[in-house]
Amino acid sequence: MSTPATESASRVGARATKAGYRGTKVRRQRVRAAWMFLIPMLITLALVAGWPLARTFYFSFTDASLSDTAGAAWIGIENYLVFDDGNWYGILTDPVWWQSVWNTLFFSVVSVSLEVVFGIIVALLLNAEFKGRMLVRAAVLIPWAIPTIVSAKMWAWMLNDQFGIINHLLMALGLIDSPLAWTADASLSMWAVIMVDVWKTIPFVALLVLAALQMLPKDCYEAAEVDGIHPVKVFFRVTLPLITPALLVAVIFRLLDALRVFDVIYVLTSNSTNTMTMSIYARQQLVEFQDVGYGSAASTLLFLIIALVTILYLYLGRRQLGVDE
Amino acid sequence: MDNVIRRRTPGARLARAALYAVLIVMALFYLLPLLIMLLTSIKPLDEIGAGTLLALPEHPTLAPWVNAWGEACTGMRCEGVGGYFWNSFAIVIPAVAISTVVGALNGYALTKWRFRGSELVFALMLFGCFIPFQVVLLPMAQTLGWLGLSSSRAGLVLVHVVFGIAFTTLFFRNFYVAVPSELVSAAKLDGAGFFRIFWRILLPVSAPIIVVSVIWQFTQIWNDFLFGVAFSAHDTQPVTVALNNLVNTSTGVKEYNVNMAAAMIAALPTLVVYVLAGKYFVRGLTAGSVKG
Repeated sequence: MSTPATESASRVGARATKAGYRGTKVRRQRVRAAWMFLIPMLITLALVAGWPLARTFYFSFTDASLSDTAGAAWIGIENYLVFDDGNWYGILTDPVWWQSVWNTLFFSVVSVSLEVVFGIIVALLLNAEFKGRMLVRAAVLIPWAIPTIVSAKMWAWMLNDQFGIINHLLMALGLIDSPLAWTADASLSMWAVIMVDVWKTIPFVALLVLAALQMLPKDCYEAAEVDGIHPVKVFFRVTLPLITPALLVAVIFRLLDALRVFDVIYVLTSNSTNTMTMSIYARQQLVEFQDVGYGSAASTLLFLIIALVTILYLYLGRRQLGVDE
Repeated sequence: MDNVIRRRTPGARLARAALYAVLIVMALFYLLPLLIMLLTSIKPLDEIGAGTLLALPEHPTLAPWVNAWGEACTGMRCEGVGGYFWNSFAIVIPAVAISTVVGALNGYALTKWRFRGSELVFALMLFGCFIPFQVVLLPMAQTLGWLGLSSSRAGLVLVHVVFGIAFTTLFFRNFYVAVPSELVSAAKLDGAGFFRIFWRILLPVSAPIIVVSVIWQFTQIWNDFLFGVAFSAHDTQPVTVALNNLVNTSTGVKEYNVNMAAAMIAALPTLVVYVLAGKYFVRGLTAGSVKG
């Protein structure tokens, strides 16, 4: 960072060496102008985003409750782990927490994988030329445009075990004998949630991939066609490597979104432990059990996991997000 | 890509038919839920219990829509979602405008006025994209309280702007990286300042990415539920929160047609935006926002 001290020091230096004086000075002034613009915004961001985050970290080391956050006492890491009377307590020993960590990871990996595979297929289809292409493109965008709260409610109605259309259709087709409790059954509810999420976010992945496909150079394909190379081989050898940057952007967006998933699961299955994710766990502790300290500890762990993924990703794919050009 | 389909091989015709079949199934899978919502929302209540969800209404009626707009109960009040619908606009429009302008200036400063630490600033902002919002809800409510903005539309606008800037900055930065720096350097030599260069050189070429940013932000903010439910009072709630209250209000018979009509109303603006501007969104993305 160029602090005011180093700034003025280098200006003195510039004055001393007359050579390149003008260029350096003007440049520094301009850089300072950019900083002047950025600083108020950074301070605002720090206040409105950074400060709450810091408060959450702090609360996780206290016994704060929802009714009394001011009188919170420092209790160290007891929210996380404590040995008391021959037993271990704290969030790290809570089987429900570990269940929700596992659920979150399972949900994220499975749904993002499905979204990427189907997203590529949809994008390839939409990139082909056919009649009514614009219409299909618009139709595919709809799930992403609809508020999650609306689409989750809609699917909840459709998946309803008594009068939902899904059971109705499956029974009419003879695939099942009796209605299934999609959102209540322990073995089905996670898949129901994943299906709704996949339905909702394929368009997003497809859109990013489609954008990448449209930028591909045509001559590669003409050359491949002249050489008579099989289209499948062309896809894996030419297309896939070329759209990898866009795919990586899509994956990071989706992965980080999936790790903090909340609304779709909350609407479909509420607090059921079968589908409980870290976000839902934290909210339940915070709001329903009024335990701000414990809930903040869960939030902090969630934040650390997301931070870890972000850093890992930035490290592995820096070029793709344009951080390190 | 097109060649895969266009090739005149013996199986081309078959492939063509298969393509259309897949497309139709896909369109159905995507449109079916919407169709059911639309059909249900114009059926009288007694028809819903009687027939299947896909049956066409025998006596189509707009009454559920009128009811959802102006009479249905959301929690303790019974004045429909209409007022909340305008609330959403009052929150979305300033939030989208501010976050897009700030994002554009940020992207410009981070690419054309590089300074030591600009990469770090950018990395931190990127991080801001993905803070799990539940993590900051409670302290955020306190922060808004100190600023005197709790439960107000202005407070919601501020929150959306702050968490939206990260995304808009990302979009604009990746777009401006592709704008030749020589132009900017030449303008600097001619003595043009920070805003002048932005106004004369960057802004005129920014249309595609402005569209992307506006559409993205509009969708995100309109569709937001979590911030809305956490930081609003009765008369400042966005429509998504009102919809949830309406659906969960359990007095008397569940009026599915009214619920669906309300859901349609809540989803309508983003749908309109995508149908009208979806083309430009894809085009804008193509113009560089996903390039490294």
